[in-house]
Amino acid sequence: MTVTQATPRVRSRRVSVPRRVRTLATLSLLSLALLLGVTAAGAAGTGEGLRTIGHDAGPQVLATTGLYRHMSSMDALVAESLLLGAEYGEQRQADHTAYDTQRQQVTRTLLKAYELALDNPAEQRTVQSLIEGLGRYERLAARARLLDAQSGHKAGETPEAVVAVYRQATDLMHRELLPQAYNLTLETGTIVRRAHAAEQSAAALAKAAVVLTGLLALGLLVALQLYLTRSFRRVFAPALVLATLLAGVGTVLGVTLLSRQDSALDEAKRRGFDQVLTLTRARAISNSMYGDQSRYLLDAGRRDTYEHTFLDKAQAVAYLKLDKTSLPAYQAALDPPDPKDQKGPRFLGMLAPVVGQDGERVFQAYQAFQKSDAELRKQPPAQAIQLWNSTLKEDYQRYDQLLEELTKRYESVFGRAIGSGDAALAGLWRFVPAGLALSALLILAGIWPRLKEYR
Amino acid sequence: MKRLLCALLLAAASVSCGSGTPESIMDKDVLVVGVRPDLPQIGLETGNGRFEGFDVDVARYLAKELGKEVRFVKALAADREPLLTSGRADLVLATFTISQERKTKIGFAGPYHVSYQDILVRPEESAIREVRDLDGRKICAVKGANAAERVVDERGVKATLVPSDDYAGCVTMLKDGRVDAITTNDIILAGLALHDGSGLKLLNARFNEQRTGVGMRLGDVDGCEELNRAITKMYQDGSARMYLDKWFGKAGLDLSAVAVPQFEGC
Repeated sequence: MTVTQATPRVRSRRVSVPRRVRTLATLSLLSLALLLGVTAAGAAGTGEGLRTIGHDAGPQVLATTGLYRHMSSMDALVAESLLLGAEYGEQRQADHTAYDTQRQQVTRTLLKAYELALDNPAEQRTVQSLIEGLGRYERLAARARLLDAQSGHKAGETPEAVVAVYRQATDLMHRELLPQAYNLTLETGTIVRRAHAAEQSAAALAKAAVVLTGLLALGLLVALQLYLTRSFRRVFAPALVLATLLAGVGTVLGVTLLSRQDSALDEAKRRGFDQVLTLTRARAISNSMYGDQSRYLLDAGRRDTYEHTFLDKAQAVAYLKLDKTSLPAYQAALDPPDPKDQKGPRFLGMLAPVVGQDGERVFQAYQAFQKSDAELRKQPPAQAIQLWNSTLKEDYQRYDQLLEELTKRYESVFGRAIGSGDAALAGLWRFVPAGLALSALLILAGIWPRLKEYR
Repeated sequence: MKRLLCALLLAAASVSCGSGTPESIMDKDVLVVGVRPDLPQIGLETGNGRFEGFDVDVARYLAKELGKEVRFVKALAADREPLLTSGRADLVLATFTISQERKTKIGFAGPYHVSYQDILVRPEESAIREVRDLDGRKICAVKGANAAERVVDERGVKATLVPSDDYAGCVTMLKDGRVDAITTNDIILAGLALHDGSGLKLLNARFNEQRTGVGMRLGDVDGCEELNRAITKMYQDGSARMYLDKWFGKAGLDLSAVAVPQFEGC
C-alpha cells in the first residue's frame, strides 16, 4: 500500500525537479540577458552624451568662442591704425596684416559655427546676419582707412571726417555684430548644458536599472543554488557559485563604469568646459576694453561714452561695489592706498570663479592693466598715445596671455576628462558582456550534471 | 509620471530631481508679469487692470513664444525686486536695468532692449547738443532717480539740480523755463515728449548705456535660456522693430539700427 502510494510521489518528484531546475536556470539566464541589455542600453545612452559633449558640440563650441575676440580685435586694429599717424608707418602696416589675420580667423570660425547650427534655424540666421554685417563693416573700415591715408595726418590728429566714418563702423560692430557673436557662444553653451543635463538623468536611470536587474539576477541565481542544495543534498555547485560571483561582479562593474563615465563627463563640463567658456568671455570683454582705450584716444567727441563703456565692461569682468559710479572711483577701489582695503580676487563678475594662486595672478595682471589705464587718462594726447603704445599695451598683453594660458589649461582638463570617460565606456563594452556570457555558461555547466541524473 | 520616475531614481541612485532647485517658469501655465503702470509708451495702466506700452507688448510676445498665458500686475520702480523675491510675480518687464548688484538677488534674461541716458530740451533750444553742454544749466532731478546726479557726479558737469516729485513735474518746469533739460533713459524721455505733444526735442546724445532685462527668480537657467531664445526670435522676425516703431517711432528716438542686444548669460 505504502509502496503503491510512494511510486507516483517519486515519479512526480522525478518529473518536477528537473522542470523546476530548468525553469529557474532559464529565468537566471534571462535575467542575465536583461542585465546585459540594460547595461548596453545605459552605456549607449550615456555614450551619446559623451559624444555630444566630448567629441561633437563641446569642441565645436570651444572652437567658436574666439569669434567675439577676433571681431573685436578687428575693430580695435582699425582704430589703432587710424589713431597712429604717418610717422608710425611700419606699425600701421603691421596692424593691417594683423587685421587680415583676424579676418581670416573670423571666416573660419563662422564656417564652424554654421556647421554647428545645421539643425538650429535661429543660429543659422545669426551666422548669416554676421556674414552680411561683416561685409558692411569692411566697407566702412576700408573707407575710413582710405580717407585716413589721403589725409597724411600725424598721430592723434585724425581728421573729423575719418573719425565720422569710423564711428559708423564701430557702432555697427558694437551695436549689431558683437552682440550676435556673443549670443552665438551663449546659445551653443546652452546646447552643451542641456546635453549634459540629459546625460545625467540618463546615467542615473541606467545605473538604477543595472542595480535592479543585477539584484534580480543574483536573487534568481541564489534561489537556483538553494533549490539544488535542498533537492540533491549537495552543499555547493561550484560552477553556480562562480556564476553568481561573476553576475555580482558584472553588476558592480557596470554601475562603477557608468558612474565613472558620468563623473568624467561632469568633470569635463564643470571644470573644463564651463571654465573655458567663462574665461573666453572675460578675455573677449577685456579685448573690447583695450579697443575702448584706442577709441577714447581717437574720438575726442565721444570720450565720455568710451570711458563709460570701459567702466561698464570692467564691472562685468571684475565687479566692485562703488558709492560713486565713475572710472577713477573704480580704479581707486581696485588699487587702494592701504593694501588692507584691497578687495583682491574676492570680487564678483566673470573673473570671480578663478580662485587661488591663479586668481591672485590674474588679479595682479588686471590691476596693472587698470593702473596704466588710469595713468593714460591723466596724460595730454601726445603722451597718452605714447603710453598706450608702450606700457599699456604690454600690460594688456601680459593680462591677455595669462587668460589664454588658463584657458588652455582648462581645455586640457576637458580633454583629459573626456578621455577618461571614453576609457570607462570602452571598459564597459569589453568586460561586462564577457563576464555575463561566462556566467551564463557556468550556469549551464552547474545544472547539466544534475539534470543528467534524471535521464 | 516624471515625478514617479524621479522618486524611483532618488531611491535608487541618489540623484536630485527638482528638489533644491527653484521652480522654473517653464513649469507654469500662466505667467504673472510685473509692468510699469506709470510710464507712457513703456508701461501704462489704462484702467480695469489693463496695461499698454512697449514692455507690455514684449511681455506678451515672450509669453506666447514660451507657450504661456500672461497676467499683468503693477510694478512701480521700488516694487520690482520684492515682486520677484516674494514670488508675487514670475517675470518683471519694467525698465529694469541689469546690474551686477541686482544679479546677486534676482536673475535676468536678456537684455531685450538697450537704451541710453539722453537729454530732452525745449523745441527752440540749440545750445545744448551733448552732456557737456549742460554745464551751468538747470536740470530736473526726480526724487528717487539718480540720472541727474550721475551727470554731475560722474561726468563732472557743473549743472544745477532742480528737484521734482515726478517726470510730469519736470515736463512742466521744462516748458515754463524753470529747468533747461531733463535727463534720463531715452525711451522714458521719448514717451514724455510724445505724451506732451508740444514738440519737446530728444537729442539722441546717447551716453551711459542701460541694459533693460527681464527680471526673474535667481537660478531658473532653463527659463532664462528659453527667454533669450524668444528674444532672439523677436528681433529676427521683425517684431522688436515693429514694437519700437509703434511706441517710439514718432517720438524722435533714433531707431536706425535695431539689433538684438548682447545677452547677459544665464
